[in-house]
Amino acid sequence: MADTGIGGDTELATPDDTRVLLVGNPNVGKSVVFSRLTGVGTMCSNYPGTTVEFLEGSMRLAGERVPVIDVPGTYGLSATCPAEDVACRILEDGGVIVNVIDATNLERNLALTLQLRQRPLRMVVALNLWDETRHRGIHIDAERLSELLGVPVVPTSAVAGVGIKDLVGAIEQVAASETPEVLEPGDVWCRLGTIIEEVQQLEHRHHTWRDMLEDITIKPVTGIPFGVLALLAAFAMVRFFGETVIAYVMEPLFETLWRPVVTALSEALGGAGFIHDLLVGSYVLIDGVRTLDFVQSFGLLTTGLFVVFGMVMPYVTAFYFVLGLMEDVGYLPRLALLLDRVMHRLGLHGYAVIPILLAFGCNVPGILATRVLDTRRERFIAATLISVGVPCAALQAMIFALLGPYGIQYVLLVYGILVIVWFVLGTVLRLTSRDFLPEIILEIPSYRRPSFRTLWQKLAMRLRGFFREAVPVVFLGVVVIDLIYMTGAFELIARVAGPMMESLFGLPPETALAIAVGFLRKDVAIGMLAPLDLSAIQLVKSSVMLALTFPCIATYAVMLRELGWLDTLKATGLMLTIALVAGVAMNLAL
Amino acid sequence: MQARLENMGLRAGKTVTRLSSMPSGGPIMVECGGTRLALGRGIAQHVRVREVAQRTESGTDRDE
Repeated sequence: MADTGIGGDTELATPDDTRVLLVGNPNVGKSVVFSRLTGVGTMCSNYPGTTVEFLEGSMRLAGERVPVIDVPGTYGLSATCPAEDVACRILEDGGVIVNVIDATNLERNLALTLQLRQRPLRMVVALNLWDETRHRGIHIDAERLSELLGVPVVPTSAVAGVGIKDLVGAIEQVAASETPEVLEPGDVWCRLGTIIEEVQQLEHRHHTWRDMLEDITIKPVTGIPFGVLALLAAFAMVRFFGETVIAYVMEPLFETLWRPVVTALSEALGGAGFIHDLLVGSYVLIDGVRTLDFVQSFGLLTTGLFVVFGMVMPYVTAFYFVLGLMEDVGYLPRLALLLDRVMHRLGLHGYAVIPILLAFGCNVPGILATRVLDTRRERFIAATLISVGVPCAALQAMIFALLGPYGIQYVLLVYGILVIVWFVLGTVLRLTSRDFLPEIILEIPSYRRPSFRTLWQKLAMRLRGFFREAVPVVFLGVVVIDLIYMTGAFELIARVAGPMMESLFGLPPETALAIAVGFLRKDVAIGMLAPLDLSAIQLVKSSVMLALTFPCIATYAVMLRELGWLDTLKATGLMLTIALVAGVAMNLAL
Repeated sequence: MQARLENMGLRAGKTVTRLSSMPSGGPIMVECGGTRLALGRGIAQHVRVREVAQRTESGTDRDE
């Protein structure tokens, strides 16, 4: 999923014979080859569907810059799903083909190669994951393969950068030559068998640690507990890393280095006034001392900066690192397999876990990733469930910061309530739409050792996306809140919506404003609860309400783009209803 | 559907091994020609197989 704007809906470069097209099955390291050829950081993951949207870059070929397109992964040229359809259409516009194939799974990969060879295309085969073949006792005669296919075959190990130069050389050579003769039509499978027999030899394989891990993670008896443990461990890692960085790095940095700067600025500005309150915020009483507070003062340089860097960024970084690791190791498709049954209760497939997990980082890429789902109905259900019931890392970080001091049981209560709401909403969505839900067909790629280079690239890319999305909106949120305070609109909102908050939900009137601000940024909104002196239970209730009501404005924008007006309105209606019901229920029960 | 499975490596005459099945009608996971696939139970039921070897859980098969 191009979650940070690379690719996107950009139109294809005009049909052009000089461009280079990377074509291959999903999970063959095509994206790594792409980033090696173009030198641009791109997404590269181990689960199907990553490159549903193609990526475009450029490379130097015989002294000239030519476009390079990472075509969506496809198993064949018969367009049996949207990604394959896109792939076929791109092929029709011409170019030099680099067919990236997984050397450890020659037979399946050559099926596509042979289909390509039945069309008049100039092409090179990159025999990728070449280093893996040695560990697995697979011997391939690349020269003979090249003779049989009638096109150059170059062994590569893109993760390590091996063979890329030879590949570029081969591309140059093919680009300058005539289109080779096509293979005469015939039975692909039959020809495939002959080729495999001639070029590949398999040694007897020992049962390796990989096979053992495979067994443990996919048999229901061990796989389900393993999955639960893996998710808990991931969650614990994110929390541990986030909390450690906040307590030992960010807070000391802000207190020792930044506080003197802010204090000096406050004095320079005279300690009060419009500009002062906007920049450094207003003084608050903490334990009877009048001070500037990084959470409660609501200045751009205090709360604005601290929310982004001091409270949210450490969690977001940890989250994306752990998620990237799970993607690149190849665990996510197994999780999809294990959770398929549960997801069916919500009217979704196993693979919907991928967008949903992403959404725990930020709802925006989560909703964009719903494109990997096959039907419109699934996309609607997944996007609605995400926007209503999946708290993003920013919101979770703030929930931890506020509720943590009262005890972990309150934090768990928030999650518990969200899970219940989620299943209720999912069941309603499943029962109200009768469309046929196609069954899962998903390749489960081998476990792979992650490449730290690609992990790092991906993390950097996602963090850039976070800063681009979050910083301007957090600052805007802070400014809006300050203006509301200064103009007295705060009183007005509290007076109008307040009685409802009190009678329906048992919350003080001021929380109405926090919920309204939640539309801009959830983390800022939760920050507004800090000065209200709420009890733990009231904090639990308002956290849940904030999570359930409107997603932030960025999420809304992508929902509109992905679902259209009508479905977004439907989702909004569901969201308001469920927030109302849950709020009243919590008020009665807690 | 058949074309898609064929391209993914599940074809007539190939040996498939069942690696795992999820409880209560969940998907099953098979290995065929080096590719591992998760298949919904309904799809898997349309794959006709003939048992070839009595290893723990293997069968052989013929897809359609």
